[in-house]
Amino acid sequence: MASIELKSYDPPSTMGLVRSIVAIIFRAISLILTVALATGVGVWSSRYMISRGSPLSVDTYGPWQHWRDLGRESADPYTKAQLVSTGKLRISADSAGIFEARTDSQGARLHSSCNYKIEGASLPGLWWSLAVFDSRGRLIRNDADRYDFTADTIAPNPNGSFVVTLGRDARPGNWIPTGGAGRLVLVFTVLDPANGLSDEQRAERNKRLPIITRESCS
Amino acid sequence: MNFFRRIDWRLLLIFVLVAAIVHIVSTFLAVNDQRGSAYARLAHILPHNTMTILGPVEPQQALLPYLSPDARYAFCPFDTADTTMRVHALLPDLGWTVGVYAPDGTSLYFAAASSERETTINLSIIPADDRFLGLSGEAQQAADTDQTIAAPKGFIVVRAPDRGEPYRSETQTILEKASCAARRT
Repeated sequence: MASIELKSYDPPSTMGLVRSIVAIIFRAISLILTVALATGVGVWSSRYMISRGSPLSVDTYGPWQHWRDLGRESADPYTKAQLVSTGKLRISADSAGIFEARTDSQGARLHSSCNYKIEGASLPGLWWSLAVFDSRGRLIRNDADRYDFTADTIAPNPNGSFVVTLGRDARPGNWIPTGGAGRLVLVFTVLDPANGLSDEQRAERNKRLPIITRESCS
Repeated sequence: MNFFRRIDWRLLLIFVLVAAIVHIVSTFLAVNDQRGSAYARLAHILPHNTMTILGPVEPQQALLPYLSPDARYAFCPFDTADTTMRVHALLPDLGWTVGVYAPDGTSLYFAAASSERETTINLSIIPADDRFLGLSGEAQQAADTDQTIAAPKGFIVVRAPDRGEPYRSETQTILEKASCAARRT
């Protein structure tokens, strides 16, 4: 005759129960924190890639950033969102090169407390402009009413190259006042000619972007 | 090794998945939120289906952020719900351009002046959906000879390089020749 051995049931101790509850609460908090952190990272990374760009949508040439599919039907969502959310009016990348710089050529943030020299090469046959804004895209108020230089208004060097200076105090030559603006954004626009540019010509244009040198800061 | 054992891989997976989903959703919400777009700002201020020439871009008069002061602008927000738009612009010299943009800023049409000769642009903009069933006789004739693009809404921008005060009256005269007019179909 078979016998069955019955084990007596041991109720969990109070300490064990407390440990289990603490473990469940800890896991719930970990999960909530993980989801909250992930949400923050997701929103932040999206906004960063929309406002500042990433290698997915932006080409970088020294300090100059170029949204490669700006204004194109085939543009990626970051480029489309950049255009829509900022309210910028931009000529399509098919018809112009639009380059933005927030740093000098050494990588330091452009700021109105510093003086800068911008040296550009000759761009024969291409119409270009160089404008300065504050970090919110506003023109910098100044008594000289001077906010930009273009291929029409610049005083070029004899070889066609040009130098523009940015700073608080007046200087001879192509000077744009920037006093009191805080962080600066430079926008360099080069219009394609009426018959367009080939990829090789675009690459050549992109190699000849101006160099931004910080001279002094106060 | 001890460090890897202590990682909760399920939480890490949840983190990556949630971050990726939120990133994608946030990006597409930003694409579709056109309240701050150039079109929304212009359509709010300027009359529709009429070319409006703006004054020189100055700090207190900039309609749009990062609007380059290197040019004078004429804008025409358009809506082709029950009309066809006729657009005319003269591009006399290098730096002059005309562009048609969708509300999201996508370029629908763009022309730049050549340095050698004056360029005249004539465009017809027709609705992009099935409501458009044909052009009136006059509009049909125009569409046969000019370029036609389809767009329900958007804005036209004529851009003239601002070469300074001495040239402004000449620039203004040429800009005033630019027009966008609705023609009933």
